[in-house]
Amino acid sequence: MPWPQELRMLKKVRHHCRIEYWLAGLLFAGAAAMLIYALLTFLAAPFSWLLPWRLPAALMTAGAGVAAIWRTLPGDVEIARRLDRDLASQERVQTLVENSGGQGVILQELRRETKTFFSRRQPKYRLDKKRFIPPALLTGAAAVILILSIVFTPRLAQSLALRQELLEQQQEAAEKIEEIIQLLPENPLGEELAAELEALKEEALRLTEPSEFETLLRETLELLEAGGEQAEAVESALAELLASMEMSPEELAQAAADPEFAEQLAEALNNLAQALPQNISLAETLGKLAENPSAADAGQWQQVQEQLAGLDPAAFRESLSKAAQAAGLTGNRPGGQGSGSGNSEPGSGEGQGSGNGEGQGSGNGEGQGSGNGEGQGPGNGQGQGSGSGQGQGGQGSGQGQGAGAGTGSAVPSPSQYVYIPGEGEVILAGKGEAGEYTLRELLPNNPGLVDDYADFFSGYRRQALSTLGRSQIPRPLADYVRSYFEAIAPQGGK
Amino acid sequence: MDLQLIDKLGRVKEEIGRAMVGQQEVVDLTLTALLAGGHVLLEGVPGLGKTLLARTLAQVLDISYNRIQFTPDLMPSDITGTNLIRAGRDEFEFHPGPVFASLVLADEINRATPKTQSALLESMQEGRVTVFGETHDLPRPFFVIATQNPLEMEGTYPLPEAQLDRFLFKVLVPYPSLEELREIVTLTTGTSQVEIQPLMTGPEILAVNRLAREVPVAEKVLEYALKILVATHPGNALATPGVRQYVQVGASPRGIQSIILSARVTALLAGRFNVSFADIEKVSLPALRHRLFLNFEAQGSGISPDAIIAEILAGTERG
Repeated sequence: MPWPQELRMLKKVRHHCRIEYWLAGLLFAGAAAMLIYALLTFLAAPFSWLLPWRLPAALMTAGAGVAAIWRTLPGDVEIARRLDRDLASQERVQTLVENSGGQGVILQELRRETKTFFSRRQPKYRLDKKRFIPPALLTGAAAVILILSIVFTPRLAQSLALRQELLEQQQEAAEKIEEIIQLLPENPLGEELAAELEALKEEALRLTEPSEFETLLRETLELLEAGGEQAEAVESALAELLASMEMSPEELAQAAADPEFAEQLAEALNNLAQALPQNISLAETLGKLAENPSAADAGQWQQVQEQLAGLDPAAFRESLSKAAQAAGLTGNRPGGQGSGSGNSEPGSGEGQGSGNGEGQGSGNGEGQGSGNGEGQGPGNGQGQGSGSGQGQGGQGSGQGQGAGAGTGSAVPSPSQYVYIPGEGEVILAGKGEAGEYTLRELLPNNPGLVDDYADFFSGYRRQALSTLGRSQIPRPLADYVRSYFEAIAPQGGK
Repeated sequence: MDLQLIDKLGRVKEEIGRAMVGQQEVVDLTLTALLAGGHVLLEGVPGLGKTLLARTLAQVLDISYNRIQFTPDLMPSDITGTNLIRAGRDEFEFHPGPVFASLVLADEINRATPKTQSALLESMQEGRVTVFGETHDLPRPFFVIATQNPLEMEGTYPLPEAQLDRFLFKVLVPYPSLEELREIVTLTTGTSQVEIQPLMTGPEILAVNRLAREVPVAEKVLEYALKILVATHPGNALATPGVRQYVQVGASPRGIQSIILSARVTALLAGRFNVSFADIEKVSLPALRHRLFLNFEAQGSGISPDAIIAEILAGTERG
């Protein structure tokens, strides 16, 4: 319906009211557009394909908002009601607008009287502040959310990428170890090794720091190497024993009656029993036989011979080598021990270090090793080494040596492999005039004290991390334990 | 010209004010009801000027006036009239009762028996009287001002709810203020007499009534009035907590008719030609207070219909 002619003096105020509705509506539309932009920015962290759609989506939202404003723009009657409220005109305006086409004495009088009413008081536009409070608050909140999304989404994306990378690393490490387990032959020598590898695989799925994977794979390789060394020892002891037992069980029972032969046999039996993993029954059987070989009858010797035939340390060693090679662990041993010299003043100076990287490869071919050495002491030192090694065929082991130069502010020394908590010192009691020494004083001149540290560390760490996985320990405390083991790792924790 | 009548309305109020000291709201509401074609129930203690108001109204409006004092032995025929045999003629002739006046003051209406009350109330509703099967139209305009005394309950017959609904307004007549009392004493105990001038006629009152029905009501104003009415219904979503707790029966559709019609007249009396929210608010209380029937809990707690309506007005959103 047209705006009544009698109310033309209110047209300006009506125009201002319309602008006010538009502005409030535009604030809503802007807020909606910002929220859509922020939402898509957040979602783009995991779904990066959404990034280019942010602006078009925000513009479309704003467009939809403008269309919605246009559709819901108040009509003349609604504006008339607003004017009646603002101008205290006792509902004259809305009554007149609603009856703008009507005829009759009373309506004519209403028009005349309304005109007179507004001629006596100048209609003034009053901004409806309450109308702007909700859209202003919403727009402010949307702006804050938008800023937060722009600031924090890259970090979120980075965090998600790191998380994904971590998961992939976990999976990759677990798969490598699983591959090794699958390739292990059914051999009494491998039972304990398989159990340890299984524990390492489970640990791999629980690791949270990328740096820990390197340590884990190194431990895996060390396990394989240790298995290989044990197999080599078994092979040697087995060869010695078999050389003594090259006869039938009956002849062996008779020969064992000879004290000299019995002593030789007992020693060979003992050697093999010591070389074998202690958890297999053959080790116990051999140990008992070694106590009194002359007491064993032909049946016992036959049984032992059958069991010994089941041992095939050479094949086991070879399968270990193949498993390590198949899992990509051979010839690329991540890190050797490095030593360097430099300025030991804490926090300053530069030193040069040379590191020897030693890698053992199994199988044939050439291996290359690179070593990183890092030391911790009063200062921090870091050494880098690279080396190349050549594997020896047949036996499937190789050695590589590398030399590298490093820079650092401290000397990575054997003493730094030892964790000395806080500012304290580990006091060792000396003998005679030597008195007391601190561990820190003792280590530089007695590097042999920590020769077995690497082996000890590996088991210690594995046990601890395995316990962490089984227990309900708060995440920060679990991280603390992991950082502890990184700190006391033989090569500076890496 | 009808519009000239509107100018007269202001003068009518002034003229009544010459005889009636104070009681401005009572005068306004009574005049509003009269112009709207409705009847008024005045409630107040004796001596507050109810009779004076009725008589003055009749004088100013120049309409016939009768006063009926309701008593327990009053018969319906005493109000409506009866058939009498005229001397020398062998036939009945209808002798009209006091109800045959344009303005009837039914004084202390609750003292008569329900049978007699209903005789008057039927006249109020129908605008005519039937005696011995013969219908007699009452004069137009026909306007009843009924009074009742709130204090004396002995030997009274309170008006039933259905009959109360026939009244457009129930107006409470308050005590005059100190200043008003001073003026009353001066006016009534001296030698001067107030001469009331007739300013309108019966046909003019009917014309104003027709004119008032043309006063437009904006959609939102009507919606406001409707909200107020339905808020008196205990089961309605708009009902206030007071209504839900204390009201037994809410206002009937006659309530909204009374509100709108009297609001239109109120606008005219104010010199406006549209109904405002304020007009609706002004007439809601007298139009609804006798249409709400409260439960025992309300009576026990001393809750009045006025308090309930005030709560409704405060809680009903305009527009």
